[in-house]
Amino acid sequence: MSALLRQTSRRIRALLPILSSLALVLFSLAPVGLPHFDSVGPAFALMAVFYWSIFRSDLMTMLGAFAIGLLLDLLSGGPIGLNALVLVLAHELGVSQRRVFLGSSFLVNWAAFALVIGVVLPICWLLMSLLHWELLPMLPLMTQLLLSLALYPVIYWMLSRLERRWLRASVTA
Amino acid sequence: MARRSGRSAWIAAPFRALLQRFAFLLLLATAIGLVLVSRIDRPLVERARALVADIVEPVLSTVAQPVAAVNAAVGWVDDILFVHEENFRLRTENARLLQWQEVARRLEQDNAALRRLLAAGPDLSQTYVTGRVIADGGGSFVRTALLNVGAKDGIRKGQAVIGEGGYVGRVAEVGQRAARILLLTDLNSRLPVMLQDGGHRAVLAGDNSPFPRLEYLSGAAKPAIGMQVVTSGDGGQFPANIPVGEIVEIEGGVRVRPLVDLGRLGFLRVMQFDETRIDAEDPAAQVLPLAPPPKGQ
Repeated sequence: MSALLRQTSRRIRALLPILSSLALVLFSLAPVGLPHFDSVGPAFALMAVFYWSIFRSDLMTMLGAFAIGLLLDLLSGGPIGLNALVLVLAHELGVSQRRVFLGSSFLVNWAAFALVIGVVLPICWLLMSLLHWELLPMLPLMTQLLLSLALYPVIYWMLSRLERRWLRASVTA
Repeated sequence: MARRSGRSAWIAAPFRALLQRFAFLLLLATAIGLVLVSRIDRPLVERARALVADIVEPVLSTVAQPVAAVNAAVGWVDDILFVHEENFRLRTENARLLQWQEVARRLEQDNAALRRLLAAGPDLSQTYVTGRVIADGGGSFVRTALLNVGAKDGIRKGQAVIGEGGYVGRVAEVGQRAARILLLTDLNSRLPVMLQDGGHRAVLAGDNSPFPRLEYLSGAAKPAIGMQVVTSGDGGQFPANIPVGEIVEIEGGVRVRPLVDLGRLGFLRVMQFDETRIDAEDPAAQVLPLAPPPKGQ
C-alpha cells in the first residue's frame, strides 16, 4: 500500500515541471494592467520551459513544451503554432547546452536565457512580419524582451525552490 | 526506468539521438504548419479557441479576481503619485464640461422639439451585456482580451465592445461562456470610422502599436491634432457615433489615441445591436452623440 502511495506521489511530482509551466501560462494571461504600460507581458512560459529543459529535461519533454505552447496559442488569440514554435526552439536550445549550464552559476544561466530570448523572439517577429507582409513595430517586442529578462531571476528562484523541495534525483519520468 | 545492458545502450544511444533530432524537426514543421493553417482556415481555429476558452474559463475567472485586486492597489498608488496632475486636469475638464452640459441640455430640448415636429419615433436604445476581462493576449503580437460572457448571455460575433469612455474592440470569437475581443489596436483590426467634424469617412487600422493608423481618409478632410474620431456605422455591425479616440499625430501618417486605456481593462460592455432594427441611413434613428469637444476650444 505504502509502495503504491509512494509511487503515486512520485508520478504526480514528476508532472511538476509541466504543471508549473501551465500555472505560469495562466498567470501570464491574467489581465495585469500596469499603468503607463502597453499590454505586453513577460514571456513566463518561455522562462519555465527554458529552466526545466536545463535542469529536468527528462520531465520537461519536447512534446510537453510543444503542448504548453499550443495551449498558450489557443488562449492568447495569436496565430496557432507560434508559441509552440517558440517553446520547442527554447527547449532545444536549453537541452543542447544543458551540460554547459548545469554546473555553472546563476549569472551564466541568466546570460544564456538572454541569448535564447534574443534569438527566439526576433524569429517570431520576423515570422509574423512575413505573415502580415509588413514590418511590425519593434517596441512591443523590445518591451517583452526586457521585461522577461528582468523577471527571469524571480521565476528562476521560484522554480529552483520547487525543484529542491519536491524533485530530488529520485523522481524520474 | 529499467537499466539497460551495456550493449543495447550502445546501440540505443545514437538511435535515440536520431529520433530526438527527428522529433525536433517534426515539431518545428508542425508548428509552422499550424501557423499557416491558422491563417487560412479561420473557422476551424475559432472553434478550437472557443472550445478551449470555454473549458479554461472557470480557472481564468478565478485567477482574474485576485489580479483585479492587485490592479486596484497598483492603480491606487498610481493615483496618489499623479494626484496633482490629475486634479489640475479634472478642474479644467470640469469647467469645460459644465459649458457642455448647458449645450447638451439645449440640444436635448431642440432635439425633442424637432422630433415632435417630424413625428419620429423615440431613439432605439441599445442594451448591453457586461462582462469581466479574464485574460489578455499577453504577447507582443496580439491585442485581444477574453471576456467571461458568451453565447449563453446573448453575445454574437461582430458586436461592438465598449469600455469606460468609448469603443474598445469587437467580438471576434464566441464560446458558450467566454468571448474573445479583438482590440482596436490589434494588427487585424479594421474599424470604419469618421471624423466627428465634417463626417469624413476613414478606416482605423490597428498595427499592434498603442496608436492605430487612420487610413483611406479622403483628401478633402483636414485632420488636426485633437480631432475626435467616432465609428461611422458603415458595415452595419454596430451603430454610428460611438466615440473611439482622438488624433494625436498627423505627420507621417495620421494616428489616433483610443479614448479607453487598453492596458487597464476591467469590466466591458458588449453592445446588443441588431442591424435589422434600424436603417443606418435614417437620421432620425441615429443615436445623438455626446462626445467631448476637440481640445483647444
